[in-house]
Amino acid sequence: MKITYKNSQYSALTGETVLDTLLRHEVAVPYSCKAGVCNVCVMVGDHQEHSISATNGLKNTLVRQGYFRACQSITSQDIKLQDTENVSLFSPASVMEKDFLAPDVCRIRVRPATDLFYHAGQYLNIRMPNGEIRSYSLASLPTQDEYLEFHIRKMENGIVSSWLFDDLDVGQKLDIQGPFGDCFYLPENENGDILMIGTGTGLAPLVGILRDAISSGHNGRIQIYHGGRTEPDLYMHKPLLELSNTFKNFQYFPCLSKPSAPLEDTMFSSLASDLAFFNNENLKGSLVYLCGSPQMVKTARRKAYLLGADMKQIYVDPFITKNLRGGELETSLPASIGNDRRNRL
Amino acid sequence: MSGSLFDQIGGQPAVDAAVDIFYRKVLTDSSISDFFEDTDMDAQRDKQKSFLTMVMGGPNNYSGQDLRTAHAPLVEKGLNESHFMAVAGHLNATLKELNVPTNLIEEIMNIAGGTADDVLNR
Repeated sequence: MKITYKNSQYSALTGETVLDTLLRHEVAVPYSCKAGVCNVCVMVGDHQEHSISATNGLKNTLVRQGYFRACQSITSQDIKLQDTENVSLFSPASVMEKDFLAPDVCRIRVRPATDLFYHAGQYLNIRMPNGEIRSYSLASLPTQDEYLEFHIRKMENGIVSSWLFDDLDVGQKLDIQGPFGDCFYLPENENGDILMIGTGTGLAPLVGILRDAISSGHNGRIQIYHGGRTEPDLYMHKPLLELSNTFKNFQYFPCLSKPSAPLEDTMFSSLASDLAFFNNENLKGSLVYLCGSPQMVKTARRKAYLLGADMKQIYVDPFITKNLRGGELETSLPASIGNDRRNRL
Repeated sequence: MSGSLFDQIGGQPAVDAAVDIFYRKVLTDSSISDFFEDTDMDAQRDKQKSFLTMVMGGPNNYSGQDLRTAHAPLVEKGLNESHFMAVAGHLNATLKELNVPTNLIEEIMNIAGGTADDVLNR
């Protein structure tokens, strides 16, 4: 059996784990417990044929992408290991459509120059001409949409978001890289109940996941709680209301924290997460998706876990707004780039 | 009965089941949950798992020094024996909930109790 890593091939001895093969060849890879506990040695391979202990306990969406514990996998077939630190290249995409959904939110649809394999709910990095890079979640569905869709919220002093919101026109090009992230739908969960909570443009990946679930014929109940301050923040109100009328197993709960009276009778005066957990006191067996402000994601994650959700079934995408001293950087950056990778296992 | 403590208790699946119950108990106990306020839940749960694997006699590379270093910031925040006892109580209750035989619980609690000085940096 051959193990390929960083352009070199290594032969595995019979019964030898991937990690042991690499270490025997004096390849420097991170590891710690060698017992399948610490997850330090997690790698990404080009197939998913591993012993159970190599993937047991990892999120299913990561296993699907080839993640496994090198210390627990005894190779039964050749495997190519991805260099997880290797950054994939940017490729061009051109803007097909641009609409304004709210005073501070626009929808941009782009066509990539080369086909992109992704799951609805993942995110891409967008690079603007001056080199600034930010991450944005995908709201499109690869099986139905020919375009990639992003919901961009214009941030105060936001370099990239202002460029996307104010300057970018139809026909122009931008560079994309990805996809990244493990917040997406898996068809094997078709009978599970899905609870989704999103604040602001955290709705974007949830819309993609919702459409993916519906088009996969999801049987379980699906709920989306979208939170904003005032009415314009609920920028997908009408289409989601229509979807909830069309599909019996989908319910949409638009929530406002500072509604201007009087409240439309389809809306709720509440924090999205408060109403979600009030309506769902037992989350055992449920799939939970949380996207948006890091504070909401953090508290809702703990709450969902304490209400019985399995930690592996809670998928999160915290939108981190960078605001470094000096006021330079900004916008919606999922926290999962680089060093944070292990924390999402 | 034969085999190591880890095997007798049911190996890794038993540890996984225990982590789930144990971590929920710890997070809902207001007398200690503050110490877990700022931690990353995944990382925290991994640590709980390593800890339970260790006290249940499983493969681990825990050292007393690791425990000291990891808990030093918490000791500075006021972590003391009462907190340690509260966590130990949750461990005991978790094992009982999983119907672990009394003699094994005793063995596990002894191992856990043996970490007190390192955890509390005494």
